[in-house]
Amino acid sequence: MDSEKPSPSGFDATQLLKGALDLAVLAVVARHDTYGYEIARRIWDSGLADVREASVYGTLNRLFRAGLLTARLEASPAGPHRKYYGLSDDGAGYLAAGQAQWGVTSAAIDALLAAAPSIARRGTP
Amino acid sequence: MNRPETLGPAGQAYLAEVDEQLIDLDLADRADLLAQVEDRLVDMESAQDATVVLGAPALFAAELRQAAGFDLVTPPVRPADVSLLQWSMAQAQRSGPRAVIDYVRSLRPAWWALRGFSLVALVLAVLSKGGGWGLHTIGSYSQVVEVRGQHAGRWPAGV
Repeated sequence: MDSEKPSPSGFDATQLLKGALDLAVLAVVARHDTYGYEIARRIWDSGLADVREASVYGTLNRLFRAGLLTARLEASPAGPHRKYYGLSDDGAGYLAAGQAQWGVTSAAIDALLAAAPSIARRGTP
Repeated sequence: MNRPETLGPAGQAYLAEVDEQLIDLDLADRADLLAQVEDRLVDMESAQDATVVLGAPALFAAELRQAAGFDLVTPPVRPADVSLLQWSMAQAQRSGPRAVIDYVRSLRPAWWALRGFSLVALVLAVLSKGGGWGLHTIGSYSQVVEVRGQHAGRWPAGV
């Protein structure tokens, strides 16, 4: 399908983020229990501005169903109750494994990309 | 910032449109996803347009579904040897009324094609001043359309 082809003119960061969003969400929640929009904001503030809000909310639902997150409703001073997410024991284990794997993966990608500039310049005037 | 007690009309309309796209999901998952959206809409400044901030409701819902791991809705296909009534009842029981609605919507191109054929046949019938040729043409078109529709398994039997 054409829409799945990588664009020759630009890099689609959303594809790269898809696999990393689970870890990003778990990492934010690991700091302290918090709610959906706050999690999205912390992810944006970290520099991942391309992450869509809907992706964060959907990811929270999926991680909760998988037992990696806990959830509780907390009364708000005004307005409806708000759902706060926390890290479950399984989530903590998953995050620890993810951190280790991310270190290995990012080091390998860094090494590959560091060797790439000479290749990228090939054929350019 | 004080949060408003309830959603305004614009927020309610946005939420309703997202809800419509999630109607086939399990009730608990649907409620969980909608609660997230509602919470966000309540926090949104009243002057903000949810469609500008969050995107079109259908697109937002599609992203929600994808990130949550729910497949996007694809219109089901009715087997040719199962009657429309039997198939509709089975789908409604298994997947809720949404599956039947999606199926009917998927037939839209076929209905438009039938209307086009019927219009042409009607014009020909009038031009031939009600002669046998015009009625014969309508009959021929109906047979062709029915045979093709049933062959594709997307045409209600007996229509």
